Amino acid sequence: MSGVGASIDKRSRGVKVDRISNLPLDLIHKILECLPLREAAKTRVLSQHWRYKWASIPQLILDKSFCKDITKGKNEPAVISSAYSNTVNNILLSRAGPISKFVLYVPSWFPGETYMWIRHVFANDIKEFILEFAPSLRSLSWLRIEETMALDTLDLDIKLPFCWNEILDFFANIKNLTLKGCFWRTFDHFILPEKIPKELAQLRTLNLVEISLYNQFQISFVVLLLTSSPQLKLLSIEAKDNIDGIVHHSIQIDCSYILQCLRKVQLFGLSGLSGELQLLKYILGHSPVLGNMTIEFISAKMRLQTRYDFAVEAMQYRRASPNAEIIIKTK
Amino acid sequence: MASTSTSTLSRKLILKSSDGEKFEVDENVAMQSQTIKHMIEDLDDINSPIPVSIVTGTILSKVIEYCKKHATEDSDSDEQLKQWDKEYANNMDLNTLYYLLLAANYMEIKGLLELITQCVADMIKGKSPEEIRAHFNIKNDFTPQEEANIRNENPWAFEN
Repeated sequence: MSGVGASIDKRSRGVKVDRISNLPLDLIHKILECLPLREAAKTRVLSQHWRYKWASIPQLILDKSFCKDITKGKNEPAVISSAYSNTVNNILLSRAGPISKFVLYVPSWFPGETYMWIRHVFANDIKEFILEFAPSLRSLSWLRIEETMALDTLDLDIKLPFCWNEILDFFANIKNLTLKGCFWRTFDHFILPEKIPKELAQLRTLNLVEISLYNQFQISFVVLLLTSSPQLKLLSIEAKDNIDGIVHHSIQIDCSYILQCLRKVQLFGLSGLSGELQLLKYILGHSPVLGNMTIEFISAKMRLQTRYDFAVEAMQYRRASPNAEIIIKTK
Repeated sequence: MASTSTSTLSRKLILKSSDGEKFEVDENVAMQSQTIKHMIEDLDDINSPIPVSIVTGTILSKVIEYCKKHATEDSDSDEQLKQWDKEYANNMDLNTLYYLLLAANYMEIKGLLELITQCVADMIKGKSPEEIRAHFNIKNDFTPQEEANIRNENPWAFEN
């Protein structure tokens, strides 16, 4: 055995057998998934055996760094956009095998083929789709995807402007929805609709990451989502730290919609705000099959007395489910 | 989850390699393998050796070395653990890496599997096809004309 820090190149000494080509396909895929797509695609020239391996990796990651890699060294906008479009077209045509996860970065010039690419990949049995936008792109009004039935999981980290109805329409067939990051900035400028146009009839799992539970609009949005998702089973919320200290004291949830299927609720990063209590009160009082609700407070910053008061208050709320258990975790 | 209850620390398991070598390990070390975890759940008697049928003693000892390091909750920071992982992987020759990869896959040890696949990927990264073939002893069975055609099919991959 060679010493610590032995250079990688020394390792192939004395090995005469081609082991790597004989690995099971799923392990070859795992190795290729660790490489940038360009490097993975290069392996097709190694031997007959490797020719189609890269094209069947179950994850298709065309993210920002991929876009940068393809367009680097090119200056003319026309050259950049045609190089990028040609490359993505070439990749999609070369694919051989199902795609389970698809990440697509939409660059600032918004390729005309974007819609076609998404449709093409959606024809697969795709499980997870992540759409990233260049910061300068703001409008999503083009995003009218009708065939989302096959799509299970949607991860959105984008700022959605203007057209709420279209966005909510787009959610209609999603089973697992995660909203996070930039998505919440949508609330800075646009007023929430009073009603969701179409029920989120398929939604089973809802993850809301980095949501500001001190913001009246965002709380209202949560309630709006809850009351439009008759099949929702799991709700998970990770609250954003209230750094600015802005609190809307008047947060009230006035709603009598029954959450028929909600079994499990996880609330992370709570800091004892009145909006949080209102949400808790509503969920506990209107979820007849709730099994457990886990509450985790934000780390050390929160005073013991505040936590205690919060817990006492929460325990007093009426629970619609005889089996509802409240688990309070402290970090 | 890194935290396991201390009451399980005392339980010992015996793992038996494909060539009959036996290793006594703490339960929490062995439980990092999902495969073993599931086997234990089905076993009534955990005192008899648990067969790890496709893994040889030499490789199993390396797997256990990894699991031991990742089972202990000592003062190692994430950074130190990463450094340890790096040195651990750097110490393996290609043959060992190959068998370790198969073992990690069979035993379902996620961290080890990721470590080794990344290590192999790093050997491919930045190399020309000729260098990759030489490194892994891959035989080029294309004619020069075929190879040129294949490059032309995905020109973007071979730019620069």
